[in-house]
Amino acid sequence: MTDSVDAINAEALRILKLLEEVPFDACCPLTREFAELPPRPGIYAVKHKTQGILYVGKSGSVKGRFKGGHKALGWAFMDRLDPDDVRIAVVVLSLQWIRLSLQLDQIIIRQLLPPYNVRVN
Amino acid sequence: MTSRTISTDERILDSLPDEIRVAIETYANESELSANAVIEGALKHFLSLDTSLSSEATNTAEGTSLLSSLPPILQSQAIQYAKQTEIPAELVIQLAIAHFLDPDSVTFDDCQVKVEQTSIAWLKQYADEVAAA
Repeated sequence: MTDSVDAINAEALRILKLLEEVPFDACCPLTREFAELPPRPGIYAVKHKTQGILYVGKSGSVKGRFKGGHKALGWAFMDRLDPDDVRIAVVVLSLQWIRLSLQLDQIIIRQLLPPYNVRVN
Repeated sequence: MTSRTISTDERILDSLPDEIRVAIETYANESELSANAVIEGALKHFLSLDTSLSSEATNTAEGTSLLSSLPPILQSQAIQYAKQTEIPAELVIQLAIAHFLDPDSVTFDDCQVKVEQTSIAWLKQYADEVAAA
């Protein structure tokens, strides 16, 4: 049931809604250690205060993904975006969705076409 | 060029998909560690991101579990992490290795294996820390 296309689509859209609707102030600010990010499997969005979602990605440890540096933050820097206007939203994946993270990520990206994902592709 | 083994036996390495095992062996060659030490390093790297985990070995895995081939502190932290994340403890091994090989992956299913110089440098530093301990 979980693997059905409809169920995966529904979960992807649920995650996208959460990423879009979480208030900017409730997202994780950019810091050296990214201490507020979960060291858990999840789907994340790099968000701008007024421009919305810039990039969507997945990782087995969202905290680890950003601690190692992230190209989306490099692009934000080159686009002269104020670091205080960029934050990270995260939805942690439960066990049933961990193995379907690639499909979830791809559906969300296709739906939203975040500018920095489009730049990659 | 001597390989430094730590304490992991071969069970985890043998359980890995071919592509993942080859990548671990490549890292082992590049960093002058044993393949099992690379696996331990990947787990240590992954689990150290979760600062809520106890640094004392309070839980150990059953002998039949792949986790039991790890040092007690890594076993304990993997079990704690699994409980907090509500996933099977043995899946932690896969998450850790996949994250080490490709931080944009979650499991082996979506892992696009890369051999990065920064990871080799981290492993060499890890090897020095182990040797000094």
